[in-house]
Amino acid sequence: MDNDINEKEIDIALEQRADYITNDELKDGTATSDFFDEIITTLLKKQTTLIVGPRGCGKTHMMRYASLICRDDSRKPLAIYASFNRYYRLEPMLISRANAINLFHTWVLARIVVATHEALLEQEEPFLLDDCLEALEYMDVAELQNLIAKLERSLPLSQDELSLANSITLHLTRKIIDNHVSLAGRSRAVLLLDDAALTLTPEYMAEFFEIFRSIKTPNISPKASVYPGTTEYGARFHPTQEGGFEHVWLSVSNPLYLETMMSIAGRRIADFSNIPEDVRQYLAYAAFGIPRAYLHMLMEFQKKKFSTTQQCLNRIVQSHAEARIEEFLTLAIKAPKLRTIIEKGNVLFGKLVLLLKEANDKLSVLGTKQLLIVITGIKEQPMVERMVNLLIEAGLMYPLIEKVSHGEDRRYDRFTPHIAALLHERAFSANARGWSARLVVDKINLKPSRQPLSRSVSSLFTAEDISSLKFDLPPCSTCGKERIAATQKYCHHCGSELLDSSTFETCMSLPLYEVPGLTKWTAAKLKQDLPRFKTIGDLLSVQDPGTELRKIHRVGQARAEKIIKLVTSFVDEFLQ
Amino acid sequence: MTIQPASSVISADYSAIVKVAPFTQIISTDILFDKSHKLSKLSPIDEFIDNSNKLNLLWIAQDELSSEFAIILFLGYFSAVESYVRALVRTLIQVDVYSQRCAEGQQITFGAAMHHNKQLLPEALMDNHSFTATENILKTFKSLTDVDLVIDEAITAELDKICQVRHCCVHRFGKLGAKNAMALGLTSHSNLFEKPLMLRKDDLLLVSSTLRSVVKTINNAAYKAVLDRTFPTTPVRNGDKKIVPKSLWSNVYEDDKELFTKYYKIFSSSNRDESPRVREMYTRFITEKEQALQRLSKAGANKTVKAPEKLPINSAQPNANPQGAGDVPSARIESQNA
Repeated sequence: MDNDINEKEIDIALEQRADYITNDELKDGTATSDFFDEIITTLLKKQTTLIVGPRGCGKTHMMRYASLICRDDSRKPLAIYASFNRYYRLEPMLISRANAINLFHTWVLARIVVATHEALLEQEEPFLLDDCLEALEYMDVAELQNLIAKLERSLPLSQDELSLANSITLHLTRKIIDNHVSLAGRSRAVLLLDDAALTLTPEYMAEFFEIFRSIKTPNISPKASVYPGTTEYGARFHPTQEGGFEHVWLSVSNPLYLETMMSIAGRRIADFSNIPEDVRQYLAYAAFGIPRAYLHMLMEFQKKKFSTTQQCLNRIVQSHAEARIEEFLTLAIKAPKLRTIIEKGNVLFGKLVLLLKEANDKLSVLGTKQLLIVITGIKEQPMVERMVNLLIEAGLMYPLIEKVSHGEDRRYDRFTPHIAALLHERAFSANARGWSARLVVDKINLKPSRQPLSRSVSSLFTAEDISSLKFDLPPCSTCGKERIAATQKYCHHCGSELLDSSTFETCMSLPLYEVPGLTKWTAAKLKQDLPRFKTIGDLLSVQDPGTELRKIHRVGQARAEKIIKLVTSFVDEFLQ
Repeated sequence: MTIQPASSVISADYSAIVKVAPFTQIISTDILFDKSHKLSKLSPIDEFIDNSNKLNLLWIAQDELSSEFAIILFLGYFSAVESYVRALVRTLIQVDVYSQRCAEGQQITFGAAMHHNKQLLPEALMDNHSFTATENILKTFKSLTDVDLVIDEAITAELDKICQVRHCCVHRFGKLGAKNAMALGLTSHSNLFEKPLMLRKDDLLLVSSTLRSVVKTINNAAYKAVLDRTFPTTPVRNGDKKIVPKSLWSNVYEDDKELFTKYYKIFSSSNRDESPRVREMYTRFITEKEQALQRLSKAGANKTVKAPEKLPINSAQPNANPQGAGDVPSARIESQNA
């Protein structure tokens, strides 16, 4: 019932995120497989690593799981888990503070120091207060937490807080980590720095990877989770030279793909075994290596909203494919200068899906399948390269990882488009007399064609298309004149400073009622009972949003908390 | 007898080692200034932005510019900074009762008292002030408005570097002096003594944008400090007498609008997209202060801290002591145009 309160829907929207799972649930709900075991092993190794994958592929899960393993085994290193998913809260400072980069630097180090201390306190054995204070070099954790909170609210700092901020140095942070390692009786530390893909703020991203590079010592091994396709790590950090990439995004072509995906679902989905095998496999492919998506689609299937399995699977896959594209398109709201590239990227994606459908239609008689497409000439067209990287970052295209020689940048030129989009286009249903999930899955399980499909950039785009690819830079806000260069600082016509707008503020101005996951009942009630909360910012900026929400009839403390969690998790997702 | 050619030196002036053009006209400084100019209604920050933008237009569209021209422009930008500080302090003394109270005891010259109009009189307080180092700027704010500006060292350090370079330009035609080299750090400047400043286009871009950010930082820090003292959140006195001093605000926008707008106008910019609206800034300020008071009352739940008394609505003349010490004059808030 759409108009009912239907709290379950809000629960479902929330419960797939590893951030919201308790430690016990995480430990019990983690599937073991060679693929994931290898990632955990790499996370605990004495080397710098970037773990790579799109949203929902399990980066947070792997990091949190690795830290739990270390917590419970004193022979393992001290695992310090810190998430930086709130980085965007510091984004408004980029247009309001001259020392924004310094403050961001402080924020990162303060979060690492607090996480280090938390890692110590999570150990089973108790520690003496004096030892803890000494390990912290007499820094006050409460003061650090207060500083972090103030920075995340973009609040101006007092003189004392500024002094505290300036006292947190990289050297001191390393010393505090070393102190904690020896107090915990461990031999070394691994720093698990989650949500480090600060793609919306390249200025912060460069600073972050400068810290990441510099914090490394023989006894401190930093690890960070990033998105695929991202190549902007700042001038001084070269990922291929500093350490290795570990890909968490499971390829649909991996021989253990189905087994791995199903073992995850088996632990997290009630009555998983009652779901027919062909449906499990069909949805596993549609999830395109993203466990969170798989779990969500399985739960949708279990609701049994449709009369036939075909109808149900079609709807689930269609809505998933559309949501992924919608997510990609919202990038244009977050980074308005990418609008044209994103719009053309969407067209390119549609084209690639159709090309693969045509190829598979032809191959069906030969008993092979085609999931790969080679695009030649990407490197020569930087705007096209950016477009492809954005499609990869959004999880719409899986890049076949190419082995490169030491020190070289990675090159992507072979891709698999999102399987849900291929399924929606009926890429594996040619010449079939009837439709069944089994038939589709069998086709996907066929041997791949020997040669991938190949297209050049010039055959996919007209010369006009390529020349129209540009950054959409806003005109001067004072006189309205168009900019003449992307790096322009002042308007050439009126001399005014050209300032960008804040993505965070854009997010805060989005309509509250349209937050995905809100039930129709909740949205209608918000509109009717709390008319002054029109935007997300209106709700989140009040001192106690919970009290305000409880003014709605039939919304108590628990439901209010869920709504707030849903809105903040949307903000988190939107701005990552 | 041979005729000697006429000597090229026909004067007995043995000081005339170079030729000097005579004064054909004396400088009448009184006509150099625009008498018809009306005092700007722009806020200090808008005036600074306006001045800087005018300078930008002199070079921003050029592909290259000479170092000499760049240095002249640089001095122009710095002059805009000094002008901003004067305008802000002057406006604060006109509008903010706390600043007024601080300035009341200061002395000005008789000439200034005779000839300045009321609006410009605070300028006379700064006749002997220079703003060529961060320390001077901070001291001026403290001595004339009793405002302690909280500015990150990372920002003041950048301004101080620019101040040293400015000194070289004003006094040594851009060459690096020993004192300036010491201030900038001998490790990296010891081999640059008496070397001339070479400002390229990108350097000027960096210096001008740094100065703009510094001024905006000062503006925001002063705004915060000025507002903070109108709404105390820290208790004063000890023991049973511990109390949070009264605030100037009723915490109801409609009632506070007029007064708050006066403060807002001192610091805000009317340029599009530069300043959030007055109501939003009011809400941010009051919400933050109310939260601070709530934290205080939670923390002091077991201790006796008297809650601040609310001012009567529409009170423009609170008999409060915002600093919590000494007698306080009634809080007259005069408009900028008074």
